[in-house]
Amino acid sequence: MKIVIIGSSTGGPQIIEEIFSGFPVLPLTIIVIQHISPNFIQVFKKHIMSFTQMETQVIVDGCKLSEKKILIAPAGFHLLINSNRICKLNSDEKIHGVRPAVDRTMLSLKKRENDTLMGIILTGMGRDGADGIVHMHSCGAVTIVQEPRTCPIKSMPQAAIETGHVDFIFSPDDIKKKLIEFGSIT
Amino acid sequence: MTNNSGGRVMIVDDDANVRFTVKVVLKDAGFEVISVENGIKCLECLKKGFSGVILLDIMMPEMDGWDTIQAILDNGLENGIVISMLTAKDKPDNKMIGLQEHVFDYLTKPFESEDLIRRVTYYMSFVNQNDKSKLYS
Repeated sequence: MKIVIIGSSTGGPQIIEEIFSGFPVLPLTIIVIQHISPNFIQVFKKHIMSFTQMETQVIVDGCKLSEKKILIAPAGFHLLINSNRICKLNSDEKIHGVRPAVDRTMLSLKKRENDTLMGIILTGMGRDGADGIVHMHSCGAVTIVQEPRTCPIKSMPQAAIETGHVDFIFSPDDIKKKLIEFGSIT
Repeated sequence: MTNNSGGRVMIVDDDANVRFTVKVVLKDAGFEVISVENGIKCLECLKKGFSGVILLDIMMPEMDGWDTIQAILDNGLENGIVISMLTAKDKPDNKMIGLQEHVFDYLTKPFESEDLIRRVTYYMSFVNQNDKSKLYS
């Protein structure tokens, strides 16, 4: 299974919609961790659904990863992926001031022979995702961050870059191209 | 065009020039604009039932933008609003940590009129759709 984790914070919804605008149906499992108010999570999902034919849903506890889907982490819960397949939600303490924390999800993934991983960090304040990117890279993932100049807030991508574990620094459009390429390779 | 049908926007900034510019640009684009000079007045408007987009300056005397957001949360006034910080600061400060999920976007002054209108229109889609969701829930 090809598993993609996208971590995003302030200013992220517009960037994510830009990435998914016209996005084709591909054999990818894309998990979106967006720091967003619970008030807006369903609207955010509807926005993404309007841009792509990929099936899009907000994750519920216990749901299984499957291909050709965009899965959005619900606001207010950390998301862990057990055995790289099962979504587990919890209300543990906030990390970096946020819940869901991108780090928590990325760090829950394991290196597995049958899985190919990609980790992406978009705009945001703080350093959520930096430790997760290091972990994913050590698991063999392709790691990408949004070019800081294109970010409303640069510190999250900047923190990831400073780890030295980032393969690509891309604009949102190039992130989209890389995702499509990742999903198209057999 | 001035039909004020695009939804309600509150500009919160101690700089009168910024308030004036934002008001002119957004009113001309069809938004109803409320202009206030500090966080306390922002809270008063929310207590009176304001719903819409809030463009919130960070650096203000007495109650800064972050304190204003915290007061909004403490008073349970966060429903029906989208908050975007409007600031001249190039580097956001660490007071934002813990408030990320409540800050939808971050606009750096000076801004282009077209970009402001495009972004506010986008924020408004969250306010409007959220209202519709409530109607049918």
